[in-house]
Amino acid sequence: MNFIDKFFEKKARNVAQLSNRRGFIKGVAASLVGASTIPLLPVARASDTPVLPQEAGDPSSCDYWRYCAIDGFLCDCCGGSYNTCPPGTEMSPITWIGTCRNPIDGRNYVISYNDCCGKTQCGTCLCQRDEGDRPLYRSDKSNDVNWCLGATSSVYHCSTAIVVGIAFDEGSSK
Amino acid sequence: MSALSLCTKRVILGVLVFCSFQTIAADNLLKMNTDRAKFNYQMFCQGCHTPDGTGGKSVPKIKNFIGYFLQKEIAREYLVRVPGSANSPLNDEQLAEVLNWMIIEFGGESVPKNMQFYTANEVAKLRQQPLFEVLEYREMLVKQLAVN
Repeated sequence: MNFIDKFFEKKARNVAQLSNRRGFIKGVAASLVGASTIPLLPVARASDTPVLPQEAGDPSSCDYWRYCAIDGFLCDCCGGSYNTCPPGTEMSPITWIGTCRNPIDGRNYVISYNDCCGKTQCGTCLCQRDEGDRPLYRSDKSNDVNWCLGATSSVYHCSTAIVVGIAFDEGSSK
Repeated sequence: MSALSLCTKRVILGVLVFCSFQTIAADNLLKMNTDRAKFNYQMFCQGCHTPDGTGGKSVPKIKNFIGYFLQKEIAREYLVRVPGSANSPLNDEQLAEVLNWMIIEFGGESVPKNMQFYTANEVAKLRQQPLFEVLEYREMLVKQLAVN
């Protein structure tokens, strides 16, 4: 036992001589400083920035740029907006997706046409532009599918047009 | 050793460790155009599989799950043979790219450590045998996989 006592006493004294009480705090602080520099490193983060296209036009009009591929009632006329569902309806997570050109910046954006479901058809502002619409045999690119199939209720009410990204341009990426 | 030099060493060490992870990530993304891959996912997969790969009603989950299919060859082949992949309008290179992108983006803990990314040649061969019955086949595969 004496040996063990001496061994640990010696070790404890060594630690006491070589370190100070604030050493641990200092170490943690230094690590935090190191970690805080990581976001400053030159790593590409362009794709993480939210997509916020410049806006123009009336979202309750069928001519509005986001509706280039829509086929349905505009939620903007039905108590919702171009990217939100009217009260009492549920947005279907399953949707069809196309691209539309924004006339302000000339860029093509990826638009998700999520349907709002759970109430009978809105019945106002019917808009059918169908750009990029494909026949039903290409079901993922057909807007004739009832996309409320992904919601709790399959009863269709109206359609939104949510920008989810910028279209990839093979030409400009080189 | 002064406090300053100790701090400096730790800061440099932290940065070096971070940079080494970046290099590994860059190697994995070799020959991958992440912007194109993401766009193709959005255009041809996201409508059903949802933006974060969670899926939904009767749509299989990709998020934190896709990597389990890389444990066995037959399950790895399944990811290319499902109708959404095999019948997609993407060419072989783009299909391999978007599959690899999904594995990196959504795979999380499900991805095996020693996994191999898909190549265009592999995808070209596998998509020649598209599956017609998917749900039961998938169920059978998942039973064979070590899924946490």
